[in-house]
Amino acid sequence: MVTRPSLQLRGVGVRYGAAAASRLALADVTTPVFSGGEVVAVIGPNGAGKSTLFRRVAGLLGGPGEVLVTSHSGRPPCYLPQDTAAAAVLTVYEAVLLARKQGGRGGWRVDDADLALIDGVLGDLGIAELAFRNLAELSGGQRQLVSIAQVLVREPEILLMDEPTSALDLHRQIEVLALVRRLASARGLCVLVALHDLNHALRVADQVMVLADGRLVAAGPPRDVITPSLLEEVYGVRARVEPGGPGSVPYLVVEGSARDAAARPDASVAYLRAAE
Amino acid sequence: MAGAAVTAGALPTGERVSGRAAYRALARRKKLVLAGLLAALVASILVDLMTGAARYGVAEVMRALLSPESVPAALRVVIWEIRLPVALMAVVVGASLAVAGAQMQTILNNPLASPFTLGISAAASFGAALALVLGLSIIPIAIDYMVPLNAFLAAAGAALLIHALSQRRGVSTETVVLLGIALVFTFNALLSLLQFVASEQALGAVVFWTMGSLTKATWHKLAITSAVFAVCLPLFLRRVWVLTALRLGEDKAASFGINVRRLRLETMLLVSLLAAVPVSFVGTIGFVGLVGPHIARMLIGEDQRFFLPASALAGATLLSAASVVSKSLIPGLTFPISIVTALVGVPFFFALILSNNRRWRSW
Repeated sequence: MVTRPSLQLRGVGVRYGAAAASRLALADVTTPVFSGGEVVAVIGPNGAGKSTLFRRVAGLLGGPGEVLVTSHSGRPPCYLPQDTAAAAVLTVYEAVLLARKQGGRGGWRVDDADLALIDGVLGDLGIAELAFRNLAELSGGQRQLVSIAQVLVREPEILLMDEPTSALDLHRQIEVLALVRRLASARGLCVLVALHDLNHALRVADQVMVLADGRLVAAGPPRDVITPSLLEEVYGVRARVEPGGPGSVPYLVVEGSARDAAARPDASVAYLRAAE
Repeated sequence: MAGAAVTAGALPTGERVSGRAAYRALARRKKLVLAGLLAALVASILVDLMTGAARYGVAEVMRALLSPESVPAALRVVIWEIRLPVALMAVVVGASLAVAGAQMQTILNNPLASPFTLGISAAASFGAALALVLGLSIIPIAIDYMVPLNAFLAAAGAALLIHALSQRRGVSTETVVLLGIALVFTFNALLSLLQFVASEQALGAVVFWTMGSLTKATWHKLAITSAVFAVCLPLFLRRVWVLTALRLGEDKAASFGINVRRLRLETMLLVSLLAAVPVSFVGTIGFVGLVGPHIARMLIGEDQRFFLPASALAGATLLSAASVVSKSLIPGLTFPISIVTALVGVPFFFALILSNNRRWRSW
């Protein structure tokens, strides 16, 4: 029986700054056990601590609490950081091969199995035609797809993706998340994915974690967690969740900013007038 | 991609195989480039051996190299005792400086990094002058090794200072280069101070330092320099994948599980050794450490499995060619090689920067 990967956080926190002036960027995050096959969307406003959480789980930051990981290979979770440009003089293919060869896998030798895997992943992501372009020539969205290829060729069991679709067009967003969904189901991956688009979270996630001010404010199935009252409380947004038709997923309709509506009903219009 | 299977087989087989085949072809092309560089280096070494006060033909040089007993004693002595140590010193020093420059550019993520531009060579010169002028040794040791050891310790100190400063929060790559320039000025001023107080004899020795020259190369110095290169290169070769990954950015490298801080520190220590030892024997030679890696990068990219040997070969060939030029400008006179590397290197460098090369511009 193959071990199913699983991930659980118990009282996890991260402290930034020197001891005296330190503040908790993340405090006391305790989650249920997430297991292979599950896609967990991590949502929350800017600065809520999503990236900090990912870095902590990936082992790049220390702090109180425990990150409990089980995996068949015994390897730590595979982390896809938020996208940054790189000036390396490498082709896409070389950059993806480089990711594959990390951790002393096979020394200098590049065997056909490595290359077949890379061809497969580039094909799945629809970027096979970019394979021999230089990294510096890519658009932001193309670069993001290459970064996703770089984590997939490492054959992760637990995958942490920090806003993997932020630079992609709508079509690519849907395709990449569908691929992640299929990978989770078909290969038993446990995926934590930070998302800003809550409709994506409603569509692909089995579980949702909501972070605000470095704390976990809600966790559970998306339909139970993403509610009008939570959206108003966490994001300050007035919205309703439409149930969707039979066999389809619910979706979110945003009606406006709850804060502006309460405080300054016409603020943005007044600003525009002033700008004229 | 819609409806594509997760595993291989979603695309037509032809397309699947083409990525693999194209990669193999790319790797073959890179090996050919390496072979070409090696051939250029061998040719340059031969020409270097042929060139000098007395000119010899290829056949004579080959005979002197392959069967020394069969050639006249004069030819044998000139080739084996005078020209070969110098020619090979050019190769090893060029390779060492270029590899040091390549790895400094890698870990500092800065195209302007090199032992010369960041003040490491200047520090080495100062360390050497300290021994030459004042007889001061940073740690007590036999007089023969005092000069190189001082040079190394000063260079290592400068390298670690650069490293420490580059690790501080909010220090950009531009700042690191500015700090390097500040170090160059500082050590040059200190060197001038030493020259000012130096005796006539010591002054001559110090001037030799500031104008690097291969003419005092001996088999013994060559052996030490080669040994350092032979120790450092495999340590870099073992880290080719992680060093290449560093060029994808610190975050990405860390996400691959690489301990970026430790990798940088270890690399910086090796780099200071690689940069300081040649400088301690032949004096300050600029531009090879800067231009060598850039030529390699343009020819072959930054996959360190190819980039590292290509940098070494490019640096070695550059300095070997410079050695030929230094002997050819005025017959019977050998110019200090650092003058040649600067005079030939700078226009070449301008041409590189201004050439319409996308790979180059990606920096």
